[in-house]
Amino acid sequence: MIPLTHAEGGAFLLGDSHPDRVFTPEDFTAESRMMARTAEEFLAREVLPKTAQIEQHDTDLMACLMRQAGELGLLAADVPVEYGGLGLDVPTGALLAEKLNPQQSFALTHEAHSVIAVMPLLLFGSHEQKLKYLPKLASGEWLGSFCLSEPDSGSDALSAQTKAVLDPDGETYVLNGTKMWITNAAFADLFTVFAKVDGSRFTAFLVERGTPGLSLGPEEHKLGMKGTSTRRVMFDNVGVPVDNRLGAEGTGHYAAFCTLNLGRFKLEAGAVGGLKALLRQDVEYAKQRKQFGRPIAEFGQIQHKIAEIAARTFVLESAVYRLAGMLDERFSSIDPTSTDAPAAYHAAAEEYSPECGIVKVFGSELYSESADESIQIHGGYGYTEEFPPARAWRDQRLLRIGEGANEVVRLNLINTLIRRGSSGRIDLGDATKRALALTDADFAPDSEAGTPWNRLKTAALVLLHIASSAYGQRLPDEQEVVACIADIVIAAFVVESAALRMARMAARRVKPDILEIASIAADIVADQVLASAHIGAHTVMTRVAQTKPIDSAVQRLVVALFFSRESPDVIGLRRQLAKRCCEAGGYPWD
Amino acid sequence: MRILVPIKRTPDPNSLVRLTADAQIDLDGCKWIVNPFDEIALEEAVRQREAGLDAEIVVVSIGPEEAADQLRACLAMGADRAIHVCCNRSLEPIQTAHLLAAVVATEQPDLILMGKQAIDGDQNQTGQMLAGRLGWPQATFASTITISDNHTTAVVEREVDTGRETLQVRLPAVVTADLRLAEPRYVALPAIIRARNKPMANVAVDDLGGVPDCGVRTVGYELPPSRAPGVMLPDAASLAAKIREAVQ
Repeated sequence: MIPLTHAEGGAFLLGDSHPDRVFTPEDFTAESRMMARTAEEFLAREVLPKTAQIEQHDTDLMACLMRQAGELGLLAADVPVEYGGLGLDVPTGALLAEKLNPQQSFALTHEAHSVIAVMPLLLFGSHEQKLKYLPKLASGEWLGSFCLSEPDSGSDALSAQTKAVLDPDGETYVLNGTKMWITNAAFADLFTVFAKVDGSRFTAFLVERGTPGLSLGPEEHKLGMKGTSTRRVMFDNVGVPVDNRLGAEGTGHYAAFCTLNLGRFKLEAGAVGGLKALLRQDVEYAKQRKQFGRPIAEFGQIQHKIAEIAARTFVLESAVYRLAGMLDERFSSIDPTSTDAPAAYHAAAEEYSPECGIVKVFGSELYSESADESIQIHGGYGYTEEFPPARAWRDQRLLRIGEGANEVVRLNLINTLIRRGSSGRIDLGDATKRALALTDADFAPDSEAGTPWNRLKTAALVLLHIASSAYGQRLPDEQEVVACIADIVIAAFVVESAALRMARMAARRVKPDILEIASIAADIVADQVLASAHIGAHTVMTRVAQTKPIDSAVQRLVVALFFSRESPDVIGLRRQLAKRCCEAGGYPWD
Repeated sequence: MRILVPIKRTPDPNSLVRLTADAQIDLDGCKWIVNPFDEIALEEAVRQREAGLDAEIVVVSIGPEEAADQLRACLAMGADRAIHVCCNRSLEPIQTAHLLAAVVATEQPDLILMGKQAIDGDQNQTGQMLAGRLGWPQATFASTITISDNHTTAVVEREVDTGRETLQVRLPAVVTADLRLAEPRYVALPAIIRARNKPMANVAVDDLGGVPDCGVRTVGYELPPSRAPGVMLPDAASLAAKIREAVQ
């Protein structure tokens, strides 16, 4: 594969990325780590001790904690200095989200405010709008809420029914409709609302609390995230000044989708922190819990679980911060006060939508599996509220649904790659041609094509090729096929991210044993995703063959891809990694 | 007035510290923090100023290049400027006191406020030795400090085995902080950013007259022996039997 000259979103699939261009957690400055410590201490001292009260739906307390966080600057990370924020780099903002996650209700409230409520304004607002509202939102004087979903419009967001009509005087829009699942509704001072002007032009508006006609439904009874406020927001002839329209009429979908991209990324940065907290708890429990005269941490099946959580969290963390670096490269070059800032922000937030989707799916599913296994490690105690995994399990479940259901994110991922391929933004055709030209001999040990991530990329490109040629325009209807291919693309990105991070670790001369366990983690995950990809490839080819016979050369290639590699002794590797986690008292790379 | 707060870069107690095969303490890859007792001392200095004391707060650290990170953290907590004495070797308290005394000669502080001990060596000597070397009064293990309006004396409450003892010291003096003197604040993010522009001076050990020999030589380190496991006894009678066995 050829080295990339510049990093386009989705282009990772086409060639090798260079480690020098990759941000890793090892790159954080002392200053960023100091900020992270503030977030961590705030959570440990002010938020976590109030968990019982938070879990009782005490939304007043939640609003109060948010304002406290605001005083410390914890709501201002992404807001430019020009608008009263701190203008921090994207990776540091992600690190703060990571540290705040272990109280997930608080973390979601924080994210709903600082990302999805604030970002439409930050990205698409005019200079005047940003001057008026951003300083208040950055300080926590005002809290925000994002109103997109409706009772009948979830994944199909553009089918929203909420209507805006421009008053004949030309000064005011009149909004009517109902928004659903609105996080922070109880205490929000500013609502970012999406409505269709005259029932067709999708547009974003800023609506202040207390505007006549705006009312709230009762709190929803949710499975988890009990401390967040989630209500309906009703608009009954709500007058909104034209000055509070974000961008031009008919551009609201850009604001919604760009914001959700960043939301996906930020939530999974949070998941990294939640996973580390679970691992710490699991290790602590497994070390002190004795059965048959031994700590359960010494038993292979428990070590298996601990090692899997640790290994995959390492891989997720690598992917999240790699993406953070990519986003930062684009965002940091934008002048927030210039008149073309919205266009530049739009381009930047859209660029890495494939990667944002990738970390969303991988992170939320890892969080689910790990929370589940954490309960299992704790046995009967895990099934009670006495130990943290039960709450984590209920809370994290939202992440596979919120900010775009994983099913839709998988479809969008492949759809975006195909669209970028056919418009020439990324040269999918050439990469596919190179993939198809590979033969058995190319997969020799230590060969470039034989690395786990290049095998996965080749598999994804080849499967995408045969599926596209079999189904053409009808490919999106074959959702299961698309989802299988998406999983392989996801695996390719995350496994490559871990490898790039390790290359940087080696260059930075981190301790050899830290690098060694990183390589163990990468091997464990690679083995597992390659096995899943093998099954996925088989499923896709069997399905495609119902429509169009598969070329025998392609069949041979896929066999070569998955059979020409030696599996490591993953049981031995997991035992080693679990032991290191126990020694470190949790995540061994922090 | 001027308050000098010496701080030490110490390993984070939550980090994994191990012995290497050749019996050296392996600190490679461990996280580093400002010695918590020094952090308490700095917090107290900042609070005194916030309560109206007209004071410049100067932090000083003797340590490797990376100790600049800890000094920067102190600037974020509220110190006005920092002095970094670059030194890559491990020092005994008497050597640290010697170097600090040289800093004091230049800075002429009215008060030296520092942690009662560092959590790595747990020596609890540097403050006392520094006061001795300077010929200044000392008040160790302070739990409250009240500075007189004319900045000539400080009243220090200290925690002792029998309760509380109150001392009045003439300034300049050395006061060392105990755990309950002040709870360090969360450092707000804007303060961290402001600390970027606060001055930090670099001083070479040689400019302070070098490190004197102290006659202490480290021979080696070893882990404490692991404790033999306890035994569960079924009842009081068997416990009594065990005790009889042990005392015979």
